Amino acid sequence: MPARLTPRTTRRLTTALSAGGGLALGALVVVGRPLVGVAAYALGMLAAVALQYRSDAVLYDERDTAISRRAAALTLRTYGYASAVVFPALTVAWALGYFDWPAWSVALALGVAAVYLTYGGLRVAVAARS
Amino acid sequence: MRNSLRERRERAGLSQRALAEHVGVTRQTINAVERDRYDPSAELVFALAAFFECDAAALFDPDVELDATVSDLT
Repeated sequence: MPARLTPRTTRRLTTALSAGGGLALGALVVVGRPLVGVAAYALGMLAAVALQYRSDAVLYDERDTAISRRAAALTLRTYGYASAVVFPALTVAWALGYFDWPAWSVALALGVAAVYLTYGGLRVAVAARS
Repeated sequence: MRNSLRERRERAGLSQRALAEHVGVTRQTINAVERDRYDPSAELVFALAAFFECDAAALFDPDVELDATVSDLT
């Protein structure tokens, strides 16, 4: 059946299955069924992979790579600009006693830091190989 | 990058999908190149030129402006 799907339909189905799996995981964890959520997620991802594997058409090409690269760069830039303003401002507010770091904001700050540390490390590694 | 891809494709009686299959990309990429919304890689430029049996420069106009060329240096 997948062989009869157009490349665009296959791509859309793949995206829908992946996103659906992720959403199902989140929703089922929230309602207290984490194992069912993981099963739904795995099912969605497996179906997406199988759909791509069985397709004869070119589903992704250099333009998709370029788009992903651009989106990744914009994401990093957005977080970078936001972090450059937000976290120092919150630190000043905290130092002056106007702000307490809730757990989620600490996790967010550490998460952003981890992303940039990873990016920096990989940038050095990739540059060394180029 | 301006190009004559659409003219050459239509002259050959090919759809975007057919051309895409011949050079190993998606129809959306051919459409984006024709509409000058995506600059193809050198690999794709040469694949298209080989397919249409012409020079890459005949298919694509890079519109490069340089202060000097190698001839000016020798």
